[in-house]
Amino acid sequence: MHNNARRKKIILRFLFYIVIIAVVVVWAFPILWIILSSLKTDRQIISQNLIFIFKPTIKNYYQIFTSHNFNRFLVNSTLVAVGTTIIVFLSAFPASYSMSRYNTGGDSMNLGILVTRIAPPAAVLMPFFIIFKYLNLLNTLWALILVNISLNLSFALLLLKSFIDEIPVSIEEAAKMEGASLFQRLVLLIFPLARSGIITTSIFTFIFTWNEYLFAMVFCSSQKVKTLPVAAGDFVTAYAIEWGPVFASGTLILLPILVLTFFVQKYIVKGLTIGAVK
Amino acid sequence: MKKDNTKYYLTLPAAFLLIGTTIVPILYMLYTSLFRLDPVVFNKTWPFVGLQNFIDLFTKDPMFWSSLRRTLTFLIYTVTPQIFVGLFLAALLYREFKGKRFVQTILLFPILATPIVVAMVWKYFFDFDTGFLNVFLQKIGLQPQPWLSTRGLPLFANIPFVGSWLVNKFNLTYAFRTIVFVNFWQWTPFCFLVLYSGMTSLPAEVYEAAGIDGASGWQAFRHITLPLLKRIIWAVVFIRVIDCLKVYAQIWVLFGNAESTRVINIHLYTLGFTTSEYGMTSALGVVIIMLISLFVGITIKLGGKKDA
Amino acid sequence: MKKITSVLLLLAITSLVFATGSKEATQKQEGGKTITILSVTSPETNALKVLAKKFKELNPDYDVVFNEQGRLGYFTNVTTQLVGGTDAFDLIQDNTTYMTELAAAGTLEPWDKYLNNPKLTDLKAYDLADLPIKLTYKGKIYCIPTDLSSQVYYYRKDFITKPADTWNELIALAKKNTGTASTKYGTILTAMTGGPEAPKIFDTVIWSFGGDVIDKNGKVAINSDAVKKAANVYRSLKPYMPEDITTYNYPKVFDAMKSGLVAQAVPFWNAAWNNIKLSDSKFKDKYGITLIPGVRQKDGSIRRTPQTHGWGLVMNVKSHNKLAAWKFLVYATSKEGFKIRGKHGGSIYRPSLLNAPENAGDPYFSVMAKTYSLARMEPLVPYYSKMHEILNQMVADILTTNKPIENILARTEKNLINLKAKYE
Repeated sequence: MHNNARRKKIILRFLFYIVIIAVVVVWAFPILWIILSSLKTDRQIISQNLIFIFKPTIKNYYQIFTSHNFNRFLVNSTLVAVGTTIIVFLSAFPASYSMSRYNTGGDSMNLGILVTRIAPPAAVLMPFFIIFKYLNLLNTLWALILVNISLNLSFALLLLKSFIDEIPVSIEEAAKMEGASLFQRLVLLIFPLARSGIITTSIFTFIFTWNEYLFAMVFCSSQKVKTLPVAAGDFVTAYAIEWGPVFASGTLILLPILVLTFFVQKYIVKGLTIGAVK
Repeated sequence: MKKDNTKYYLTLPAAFLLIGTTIVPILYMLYTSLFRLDPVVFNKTWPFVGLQNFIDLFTKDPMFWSSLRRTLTFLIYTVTPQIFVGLFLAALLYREFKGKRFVQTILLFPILATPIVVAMVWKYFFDFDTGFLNVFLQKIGLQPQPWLSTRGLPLFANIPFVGSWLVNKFNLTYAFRTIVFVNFWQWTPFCFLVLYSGMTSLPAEVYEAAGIDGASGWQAFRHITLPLLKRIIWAVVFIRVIDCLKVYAQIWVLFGNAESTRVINIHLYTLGFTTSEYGMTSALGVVIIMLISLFVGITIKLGGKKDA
Repeated sequence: MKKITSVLLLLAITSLVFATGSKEATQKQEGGKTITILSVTSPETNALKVLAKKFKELNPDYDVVFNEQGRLGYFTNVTTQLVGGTDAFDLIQDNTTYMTELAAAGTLEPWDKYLNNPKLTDLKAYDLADLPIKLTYKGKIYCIPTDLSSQVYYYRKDFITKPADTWNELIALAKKNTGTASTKYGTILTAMTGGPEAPKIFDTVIWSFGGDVIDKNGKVAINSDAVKKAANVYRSLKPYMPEDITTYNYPKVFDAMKSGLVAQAVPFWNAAWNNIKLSDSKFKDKYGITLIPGVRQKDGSIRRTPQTHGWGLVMNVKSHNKLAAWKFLVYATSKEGFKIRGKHGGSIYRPSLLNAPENAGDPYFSVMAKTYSLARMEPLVPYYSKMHEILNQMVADILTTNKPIENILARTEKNLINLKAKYE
């Protein structure tokens, strides 16, 4: 009897790990394969054998950095992502505070923000192009920063608001009694208390901006302002797909995201789930 | 009185940016949906057509209704398994074990990975002759699959009499299965994550009570966890439906705008970028926004009733 | 009330920023000497870059800057840039088939006044008669292509000794070479939905049967016997081609050639000849090149009708450096320009060079000379991309469904008539 239960337990445990391993393989493998392939030669990539063990080459990386100016694109992508993140934070922080504490705009504001999230990018591409031409912003990184603000601000507002909602009003009342001005309360009290919310929002804004492809392709075609995803797309040439550089640039683009998911997992989970649980 | 003003001043930067970068383009979209607009007339006077673009969309556009129907099947095929597998994974990872954090990290990654890069990798994976999947299948002694073919899936296509009708009506083709799979790969982890954090936020007492009652794991899950998770499950469905309507890179890179995989958003990109009918694009954009708003409204209304 | 005031305030600020922004727009100097080019990553662009280097050597005070982009979304970008009125690019590389729409939109600078100004162009040396293809719209020249693409017939000469002359012979050869020890697929062509290639290749087959999509009188002629016959050729070839043939565009067909999966690629673009020679494929020397098949006529001759289109540079009407851009354009399409580009991956189509004695022994040049002389362009209409969208679905229907061809053609006819009614 006792033995039987134990055997059952061992079998269950075994099955459990099999399923877990299957899950890991299915979801990690494509990413792993990108990284592996970036270290292969072209011939190894389109080989009809599965090559797991090979002599790695950095030829693909060498190529994208020397003949394709990827150091420049890396700087551009970083500038756009960091710039957008800072501006989104600076504008969303006070606004979400106001929305949380005074219910500014009420439900209609929330609904409005939701609608702006679903505006199809394909339909607003042309208006943006014309506005940017008029403002003389085409082929500048500012154009991309503005577009990415548009794509991220409403999400940031909702996210930050729900974090600030969780900070009890009583703490603030106490500070107010002691004569702290609104500005002092915002900077010295709410800012540290909402820290995890701010980090979460910033990570998301950063990643989404880092990933943006469509607008970057149209608004910044010039070499000096090109961003990484567009540059990766450039290896799909008129007559062939250069898989080696595609994988190398893909790895380069995915790297910061990989690092973020490993080191600040907590915040990412929070950001992804808070919208749904709310 | 003073407080009243402050709260508006605080929203000023964000409101300014929102109006400038979001409301203005949307208003422009609304405006342009009333004109016949394409590259040829763009820099001349635009012929005002009133609601003609909408009428054309509903009556003359050969793809509008079919892509709308296809979107519906796409939603059903993608969201349903994602919720079920997401729930399964959440229940599986609920317990503590070695390497749990690692598994969670792995599952986080597909959600955030750059869409264009992932789409190109899938293009490489699904190639019939040199793609990874078929090479792998052949290595382990299985038949290669025509992942990108628009042929009906044999399981359904071989049903006598109704086979081809089923395939046509419900998009039961290899190609469609492929885009469903890609979407599944990318978004199941999201469903898992939300459901998982929903489960961990449930009070522990309910489980203890169940344990005392001697309920098996499955019974506890079925009768205690699931009902408590209901609201969160609906929230996940809601978010997934909205995101599914915006799916682009995965399908575009694999199939372009082929009819067999053309969902409504791909149709929108076709009008906007392949055939450059800006007026029609705006009109379809308006229709999509209205459809989503309708959906949002209905869910909020239903959700509100449930809460009450 | 407060709400309304703040909204109004916001709107005022918005418009203020927009207004100052436009004022700040600095007027760029006319007549600069830096030429900026938007181009797609391709062997043709590489050839243009070599040419640009030479150009700078000859004209040290000029500069040529290339902005290269991948194939993904390139045409979208070109249309948006030009229609939106950018002045960031002086010259833009485009496919001739899209140029009519852009010319009709008034975004392109016609070439005539530069061509006819003796101070700018030495017409005698330029030799217009030696340039058979000129893209004109309403009587004005908008582009003379730098490269001309047409279709030829590639076959594995190690086991096909006599390539097909007619479509029926092609079907038989495809059948014979499917699933053999040497190759997997009997034949292949580009049929990817969503790109421009599928309708273009299908045109070639339609024309050889004497049919047309839109006939000379401007009538929709898709629902005809000739098109039915062409569709039947496609359906007969289907079993001998990859099953996911509607995802095959140039790169995929080319990859199939490189990895030796196909016995024949036909009709396929001439660019593949140089590309495969430059590749590291095991099979690069195994391919033969010849004229595409056609339809045997009553007198025993064969009607072959390769479709053709060009790649060329167009001048942006908003450019601030038109004179400099023109200097480069003339050089790029001059005889010397062709010679230089031809050596570095560009395609030579000036008859004087094709038939030059130094190229006499090369099979490529003799096939291309013949192909260009037979080649036809598609009708140049401003609703071109919309027409292609309809034809793309037709080709996909023919190749991937079992719908009766009559029904497919009837549906296509209806859609085309609707389209024409809207744009004429």
